[in-house]
Amino acid sequence: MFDKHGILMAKTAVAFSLALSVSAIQAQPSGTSDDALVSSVKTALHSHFGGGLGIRVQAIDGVVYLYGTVDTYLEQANIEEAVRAAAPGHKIVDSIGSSPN
Amino acid sequence: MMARRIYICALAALAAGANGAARADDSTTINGLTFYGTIDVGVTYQSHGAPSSGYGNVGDLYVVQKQSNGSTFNMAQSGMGQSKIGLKGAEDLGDGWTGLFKLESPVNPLGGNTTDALKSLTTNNGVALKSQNSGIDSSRGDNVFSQAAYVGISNSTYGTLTAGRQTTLQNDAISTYDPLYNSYAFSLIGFSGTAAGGGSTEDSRWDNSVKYLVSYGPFRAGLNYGFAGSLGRDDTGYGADVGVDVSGLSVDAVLTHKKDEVNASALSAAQMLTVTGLGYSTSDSLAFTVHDDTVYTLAARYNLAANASLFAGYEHIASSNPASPLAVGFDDMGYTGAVVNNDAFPRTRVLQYAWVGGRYFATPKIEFDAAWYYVNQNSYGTGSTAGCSGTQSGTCSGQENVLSLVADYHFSKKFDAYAGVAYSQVLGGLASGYLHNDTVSPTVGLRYSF
Repeated sequence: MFDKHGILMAKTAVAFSLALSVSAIQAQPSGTSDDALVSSVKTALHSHFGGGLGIRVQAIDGVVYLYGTVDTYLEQANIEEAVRAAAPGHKIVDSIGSSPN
Repeated sequence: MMARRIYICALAALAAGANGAARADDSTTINGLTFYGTIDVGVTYQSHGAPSSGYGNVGDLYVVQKQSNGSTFNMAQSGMGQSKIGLKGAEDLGDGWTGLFKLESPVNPLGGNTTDALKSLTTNNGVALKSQNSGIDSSRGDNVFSQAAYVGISNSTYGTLTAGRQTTLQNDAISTYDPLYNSYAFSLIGFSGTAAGGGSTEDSRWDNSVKYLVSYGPFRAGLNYGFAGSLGRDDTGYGADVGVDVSGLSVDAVLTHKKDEVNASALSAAQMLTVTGLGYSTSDSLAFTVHDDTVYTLAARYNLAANASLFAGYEHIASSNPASPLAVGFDDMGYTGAVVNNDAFPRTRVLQYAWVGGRYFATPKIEFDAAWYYVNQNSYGTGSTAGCSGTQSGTCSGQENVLSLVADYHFSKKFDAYAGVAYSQVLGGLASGYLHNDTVSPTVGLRYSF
């Protein structure tokens, strides 16, 4: 019983991942103002934390997306705070993860 | 031991200096050097557990293990996140280049010691299963900087290259796409490093390795390669990752192949006699199973809203007998492989991991997480155990289920309190030799990050 449920779950997880991949590929690239927003955020992150931070930044239709991993929850909160200051009024979607245990 | 003391003193001195010059954003960074860490302490109950190990990075049996026996109520460490202290640096080299390094140690805040999972295993050497403590295998052994020790160079256009002891791409993906933050107390793929290590928890980090990460627009890629380690051990490995980030969506696919992966276990009473006869000390000797592994993983995260995310992942691990068998007496993170099994897989063992989960912030301070993890093992035995699905042999097909719920209250950026519960169950071959096949494990704790 668990075996069947498990296999079904595995298939669902793969299908879910693939479906999300397709939607990602179909997404539209950003415009000039988004490029300026990304540049502003990257400059702020470099100013606060230096190079080699490993955080990826995107802006789509004025929404700022953050990806990558950090060492502590504090570091993540500080990054988010710096990005909010660099992009006032813009929605921030934080997809930053924790570094491995 | 002296090296550990020197390291701790150096970090303490830097911490004192950093606190004296703390910046407005609370970071403890001075002149490009950052001192950071996490201290995580709590209490935990297991309906089937074991006494805490004072040495392992995972102090309690949050997920059912062979030695899980009577109910236990213990103090817990690192339930939500590995307690650790670290030092990292980033030096601006000009023209967009940055030099960087990291040194990181795992800490047991309940005993004040750096953790050593293999030592936790040796404390169970010769001990009957029902009397064993919670010692289990891990990538953290008798090496001070067992979490990370590397140096590298980074460029915003050309990517980042690092070299030393570091996490694999597989481990990075598991951590990124685990809805429960890779936590020991609640996440199967956090508690057990088999998924992150691609068949062996010890291989979630590779010594003697190089890793290259680069991103272009929404796409990214990574490569890592592990050089052979100690003399006579052909434990090379390689990994590759491709991923994409768009509109709050992240997807990664990872492929890893590693030779001579090892799983360590405590010596049985009979093996103690053998080891003594060979002239090895039973206090730093262990039994090892050796295998070669090929692993692929596909995982995704999608932000439904700024405060809600969904996660899903699938991992396929194929393990076979090693092409380069290891000889008795090899060294593994400061311990001796005194009993070595190079023939544990008469047929290829396939472990399949799958998980789904979510993360939701009801307010900026209140977080709820939930996940279901599932593992399926094929029947890989021959002869009388061929095709079996019972508990008579570890080679029989089997399953594992873990269901977890967690609430986390963030008092501030540095301090949070969490409470959650995990239920785990093993069946068939994955329950072979177990005293009990399930446990309920509620845990509460406090965590300070700096």
